[in-house]
Amino acid sequence: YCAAEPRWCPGCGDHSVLNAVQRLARQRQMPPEQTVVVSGIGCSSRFPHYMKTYGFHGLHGRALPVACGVRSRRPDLNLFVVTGDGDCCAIGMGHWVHAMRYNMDMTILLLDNHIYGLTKKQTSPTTGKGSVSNTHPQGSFFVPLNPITLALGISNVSFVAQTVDWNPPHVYATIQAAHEHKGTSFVRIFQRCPHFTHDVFAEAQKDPSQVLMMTHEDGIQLAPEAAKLFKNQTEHDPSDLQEAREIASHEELFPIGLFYRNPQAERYENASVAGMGMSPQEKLTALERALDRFTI
Amino acid sequence: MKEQLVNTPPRTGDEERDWAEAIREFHLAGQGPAMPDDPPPDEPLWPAAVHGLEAQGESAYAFPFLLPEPSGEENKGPRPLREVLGQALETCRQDGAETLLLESHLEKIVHLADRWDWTQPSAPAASVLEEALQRFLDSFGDSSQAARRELAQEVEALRRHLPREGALVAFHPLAPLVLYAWSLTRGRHQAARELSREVRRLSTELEGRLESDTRLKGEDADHISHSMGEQGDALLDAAALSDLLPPKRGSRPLEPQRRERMEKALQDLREHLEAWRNEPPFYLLHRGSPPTLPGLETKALQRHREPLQAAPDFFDELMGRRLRVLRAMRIAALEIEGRYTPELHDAVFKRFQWQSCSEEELRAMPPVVVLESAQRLSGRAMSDLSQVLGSSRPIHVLALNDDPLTRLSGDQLDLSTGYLPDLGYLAMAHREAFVLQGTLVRPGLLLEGLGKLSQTLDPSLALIWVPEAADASPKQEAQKVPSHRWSWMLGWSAHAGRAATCFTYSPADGLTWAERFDLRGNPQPESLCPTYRVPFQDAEGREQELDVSLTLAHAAALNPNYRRHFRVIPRQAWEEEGEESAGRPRQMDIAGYLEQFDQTPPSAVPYLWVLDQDMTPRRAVMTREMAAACRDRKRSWRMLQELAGVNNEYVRRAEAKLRKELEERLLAEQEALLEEARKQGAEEAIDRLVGILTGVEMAPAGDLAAPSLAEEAAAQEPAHEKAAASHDPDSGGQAVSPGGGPAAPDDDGFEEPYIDTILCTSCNDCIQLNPLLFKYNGDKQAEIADAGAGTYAQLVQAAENCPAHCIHPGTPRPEDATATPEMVARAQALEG
Repeated sequence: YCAAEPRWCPGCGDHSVLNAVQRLARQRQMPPEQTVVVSGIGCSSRFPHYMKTYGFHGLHGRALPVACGVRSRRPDLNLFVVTGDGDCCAIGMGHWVHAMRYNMDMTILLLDNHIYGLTKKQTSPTTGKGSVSNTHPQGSFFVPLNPITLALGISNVSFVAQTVDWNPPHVYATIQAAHEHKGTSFVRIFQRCPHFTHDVFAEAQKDPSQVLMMTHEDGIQLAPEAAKLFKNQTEHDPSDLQEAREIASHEELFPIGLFYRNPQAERYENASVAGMGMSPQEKLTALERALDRFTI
Repeated sequence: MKEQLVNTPPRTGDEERDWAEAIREFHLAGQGPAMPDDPPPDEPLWPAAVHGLEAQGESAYAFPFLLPEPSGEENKGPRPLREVLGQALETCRQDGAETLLLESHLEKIVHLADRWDWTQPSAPAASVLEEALQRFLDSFGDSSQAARRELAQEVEALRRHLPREGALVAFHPLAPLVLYAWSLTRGRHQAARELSREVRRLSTELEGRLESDTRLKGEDADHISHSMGEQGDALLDAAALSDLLPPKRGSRPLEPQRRERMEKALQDLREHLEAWRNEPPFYLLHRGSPPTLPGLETKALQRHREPLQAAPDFFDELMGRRLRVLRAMRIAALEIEGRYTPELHDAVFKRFQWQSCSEEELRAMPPVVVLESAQRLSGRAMSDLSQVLGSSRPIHVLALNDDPLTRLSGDQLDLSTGYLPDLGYLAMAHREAFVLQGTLVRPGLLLEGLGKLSQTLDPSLALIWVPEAADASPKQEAQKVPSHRWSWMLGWSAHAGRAATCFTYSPADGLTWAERFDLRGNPQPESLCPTYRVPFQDAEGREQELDVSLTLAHAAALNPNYRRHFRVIPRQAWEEEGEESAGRPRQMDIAGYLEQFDQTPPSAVPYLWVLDQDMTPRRAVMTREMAAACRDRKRSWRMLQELAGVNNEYVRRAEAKLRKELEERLLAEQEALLEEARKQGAEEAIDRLVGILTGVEMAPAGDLAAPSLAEEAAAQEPAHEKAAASHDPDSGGQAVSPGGGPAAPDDDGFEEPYIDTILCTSCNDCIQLNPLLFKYNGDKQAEIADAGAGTYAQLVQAAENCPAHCIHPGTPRPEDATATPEMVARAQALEG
């Protein structure tokens, strides 16, 4: 599943996510011709180039409409969407909310490094208040956007999880759970940018107690030797939306694990695949019949 | 005002916040509530630094300036009048004359000369001095008769030693033009004289040649007619006979074409000699009303709507006329020597252009000068300027600028962008154009530059700052500063504050910046802002000294046009540096502020020390725009420094590199010595060990070292075995224990390197460093491939680079030469 040599900076958290997806693909023996990785624009969105599968490196903020299009006619494909904090939470915000609501089966990986890295350090929606960037040389003015609380507030949400790139076992386990889930799985990954936001996650990486791991039998399952790295753990039932929102709004900690899962949420592709398998003639007939309804 | 200060209530929390908000609003938006101590808006401020400098004589006023006759002796250069009078007094003293009274009143005479009615920038020195001396004598009308007589004697003695010739130049907006004309006449006088002499020589010789040809001709018609008398004319045609007669024996007359050519050349040369007498020192193309300059004829002044556009054509037309003379000179020289070959030279002279002329010939011609304002050059006329500077024609553009803060747009400074593009810089970008940037407050430096300019044959731009005399204001009255001295201070502070910098860029001087660019003459060129020690009195009235850096803001504070960017704040609103409260910005001296202002401005409001009418220091806070403009000038100056090789970054880097290389070489040499010593020690130890094991006593009997070596050998044995086991190919070379954790240290403390593979984020860093030492496992996570395939230094480097911090270098192998103490310390720091 390895394609081109990744051109991310040394020490970039994206490497870890790429490795996890490649491992998962190998583990599940996903046929490359039946796997699609869709991305928008950004550092993380170079992802499709490094996967030896089908890919679509799309427009800025427009990864999700492309993915929805793919899913609406191809229910058989393994579909991953890789997006960044700028791509998803700024320009792609509208698409994101509706894609989550449509709940089509895909794994959305939001690689959140708190900065526009590709364009050299501009404030993104998730940039922390007071962080200095080229667009806010005196520090960002606003409280950052919390993609998790936002995702948990969208109607028909079905899977929301969070992980940190510097713990590969957890990244792998989270992406695995997300992929297994039927519906839109939204995974936000705190991703280190060694160049522009190297200090944002440095403390948490050094001191695992700043990371709060959510455990539950229905949550992300981690091997005991990997789980013991996290001193700070809490039991959280992924069906409890209210508690999920409370944990997600923790500002001082990095909560990781599964916030919420609802396998019963409706999926739009159940409707969009109607008519698949019809012959061209049948389709034409159906179309004409539909148009006839407008005849006066 | 003092009462107000005394009655000021102590700072309370609310009031403090109000002041801070008002100051901050002014700093950010340039507006806000009025401050009680702020002088009226039309009154310029008087910065303490400028006052201190003036008191110290750092910025001594150098006008009037004496310019000797341009064609005079070389060693008598231009000098300030003060110096001229001083020297004259010295000569008087040497002659035995009394000078006691005059010595104490020298400054008064200079002052009276400066107060002469300067309607024009220069005037004959003799008349100005005569009047000044007369007024000086008159001013002592109240003194006793004896004293007046004594004074009159001294003045008379002085008068005899004062220069009779030359002109005095005043601090006047058109003074740069006078200085330029003087430099030009002086620099080109010699060349013009020599050219003229050469023209005269050639024409005399040509005349002689043509005259002798006339004599050589057989008999001319008039002569024949005269010889034959009146009757003869009726019988013979004298002209036809003249043509038939052979020339005089032993000679040959000139061919008609050649004669014609020589006559034409002679005519051109004579015309030039005639024209040369009336030619002005330079042709000045200007717009608007003509500048009134003494000694400049009307024909030298050419009024044009767009003088820069007209200049190339004007030059070409002028050169067309001059080329006739230069061509004639060449033809004359060839003809005199009899080397003119029509087949060859006709074609050459047909294509004769001004580029074919020699430098001396070009220098001998009066140049074409364009007078423009810097404001117009920065705006509407910029493309024309660019065309002239790129045209390679030796056209001199003189730009006089009364305000160094003027923006490129030509309008008055819009500081909102905080960026003031430099016209001098722009001109230098034309690469082969001569650029002079100067200011009238440094007349000596300016004259030096103008001297170079007068010699240059490249297109050139001289950008000269002439501080404009501000109208007298109450502040000036209070400080007793006359208006032209006020503008002098304004210009001087702009110069020292790096807003009006001086430099020359001369492409003819070489190919490198070091040869072409000259930044000398600016105050303290090695520092970003010049710093001066200024005396002041503290609150208790004690004399203190303060180091003050001059910035653009000091000049701007003196200029009423920029007064709105400053506001004097009351004493109770002062906040000391380092005083932080509730996220509010502190107040900071502008010098310190600029030091910290690199990319982002410091979170503080910059201020300037100014003096009020009681000479009490006050703080004047400034707007953000003004602070940004100060920073801009600092950055501009830094670039100029870099070009001039002052504090050059390349040099600094080269020095650092050299130092590093030297250190590394010394370290390597030391390592080699250590290694050598270690090797020798090991060889000795092995020899002795072999001796012990084989029973052959190598060491002398009773040597105390032998038993301890045996013990050492015994202790080393298991370690060797362990090392061999870890290299076993079957074990994959990994020193990771079955549990995935680190290998336990050996008895002797040796610890194999290991990787927390599970934490590896697959970033390729270690693999790229040494693919034999590190490898990926099936999950594409790193592990040690072969601990022996790399050095300890590589292990430490990989561990340091690893973003997941999962590589542990362990302890070095004994044979690893890279395991320096420094390296081991770095490894320990990682583990720590």
